[in-house]
Amino acid sequence: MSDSKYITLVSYDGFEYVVLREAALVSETIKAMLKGPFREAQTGRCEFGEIRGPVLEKVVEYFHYYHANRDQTDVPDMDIPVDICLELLMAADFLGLDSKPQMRDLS
Amino acid sequence: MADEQVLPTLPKTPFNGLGSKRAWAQANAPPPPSVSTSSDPAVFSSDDDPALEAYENTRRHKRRYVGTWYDQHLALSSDSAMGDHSSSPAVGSSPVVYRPFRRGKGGVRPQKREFRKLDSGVYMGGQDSTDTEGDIPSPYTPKYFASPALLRVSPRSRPQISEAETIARERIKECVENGNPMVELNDLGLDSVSAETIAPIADIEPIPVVLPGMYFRKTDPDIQVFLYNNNLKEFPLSLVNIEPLTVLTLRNNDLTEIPTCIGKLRNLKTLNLAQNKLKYLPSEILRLMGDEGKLEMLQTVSNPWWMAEKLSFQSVMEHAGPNPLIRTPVEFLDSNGRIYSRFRLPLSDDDLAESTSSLELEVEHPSELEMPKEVSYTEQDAKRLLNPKGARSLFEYALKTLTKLPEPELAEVDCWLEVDEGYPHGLRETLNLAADAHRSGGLTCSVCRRGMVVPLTRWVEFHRTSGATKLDRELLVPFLKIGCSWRCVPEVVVSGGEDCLPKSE
Repeated sequence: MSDSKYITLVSYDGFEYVVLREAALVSETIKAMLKGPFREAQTGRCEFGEIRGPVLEKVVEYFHYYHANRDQTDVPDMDIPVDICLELLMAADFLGLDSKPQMRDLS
Repeated sequence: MADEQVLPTLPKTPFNGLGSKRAWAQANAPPPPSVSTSSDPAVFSSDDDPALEAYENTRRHKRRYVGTWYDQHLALSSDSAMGDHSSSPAVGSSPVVYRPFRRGKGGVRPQKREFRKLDSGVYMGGQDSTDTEGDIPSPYTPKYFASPALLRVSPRSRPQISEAETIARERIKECVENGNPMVELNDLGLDSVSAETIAPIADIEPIPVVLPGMYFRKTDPDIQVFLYNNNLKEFPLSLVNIEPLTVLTLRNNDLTEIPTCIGKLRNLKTLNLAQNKLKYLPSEILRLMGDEGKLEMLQTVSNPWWMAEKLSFQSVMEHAGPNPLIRTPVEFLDSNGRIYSRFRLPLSDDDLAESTSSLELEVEHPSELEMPKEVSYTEQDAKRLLNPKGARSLFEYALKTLTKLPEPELAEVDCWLEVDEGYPHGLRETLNLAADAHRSGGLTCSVCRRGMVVPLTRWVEFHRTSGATKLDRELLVPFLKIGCSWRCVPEVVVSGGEDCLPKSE
């Protein structure tokens, strides 16, 4: 189990981003990847087969933006370039970066 | 080679073709003298003349051409005959044909950049400093999602102007010419009014009455628009750009919704919405009736308004003091538009289309606030959902950017989402809702006034309108309120509502 403060995110076209682990845990998907009995948990290296480099870069920017602003109020909105916004929308959905509470399982 | 292809006729020498003496001189002359060459720079009477700066610039602009040389030759010779500053169509633009883009703000072509053309009268060696670089029209480039399937989507064809609208245009023109602030467009059978028709109304300036012995005073226009007895199905959005509008009558139309941007009409004093198909009003109208506007008269009779349910209304009236806030429970949603609360507003398209009679909505006691049950949050979700002014989710930011796309692009994205199955469920609906909201003026949180893309809470408040002296169930008008986080909810009168929020896990 890798205990490094940082993890590496890899886009499908080979770009690598080293991110503060704590910041990246905003994403439920990454959290699950790093928790379970997966290779990612051992190496601290998450590869995303669907996300392009520039999109992942924006995601990483969001991690840090969110990490810096998590307990603040009156946060300025983040700017998203138009050309990647649809891809980013998909990535946000995939990474669990939309505010979506879970319905509690009643069974 | 037997069948050699016929070449196009060669132009005469390119310099003759340019047809100007200056161009010839330019081609044959030695490179333009820089500041430090043999002869002394010209001396002027005043060295701090700003015009001098124009001469220090030794950078030369080259003309750039795209396409075949013989095509260029034609365009070029005709251009240079007209002068150097005329734009040549092929210069700098790529050979790709872009779709015409007319609608909206994005359709305005960039203004020609103004170039300083100062002439001191001293000839300094024929340097062509006013080149055509600034005249290159930057074409609108639809870069995103360029897929061949999407290019088939043709932009919305220009709507034909109906006969009624032609009459309306004439009447508006008449009003503008005579300075008549009463625009009477009633009884025309209009079913839609385009922005081009409405826009000139903003230019109406009343002709001031000038009496001897009185100072001339410019009066503020006091524009009144009468659109009653028509068949309008949608509120003409461009009306909200007429700032001095004071009276707006939309009586007896087929309106089903009033857009949020009506809040821009700060000078509105009378608004007549009687005899339409409205079910609720945006909360912006409440603001206009309050401190932010001047709205005094609001006519709302004969609409299929949502109504407060009789039983719960009566119990609230009995138990909640003299002048209670009559409101429904709050509906809680996520950014994908999924509803988490038990209470649901009948806001789906089916609900809105279906009933023409009044629907009854449950009323909640003002000291209660029902929160969604059976929902567990993660810590992150709790922060995003519950912090009204905190950072939003990446999903929302991306959605916000997407809704700001110009309309043809949005149509393409929509088509893309329809064709491709790989997108998350409900994304298309969410996007359409967000785009609709953006088009009708954007959404503002009713509690913290922050702009937003998708509402996370919704509820309806029933208010009295002008004329009603007491809370009569039949005369209350519903106003839809929206919140940008799960904490943007109506104020709970007795005990704090925040305590009853579920704990994060």
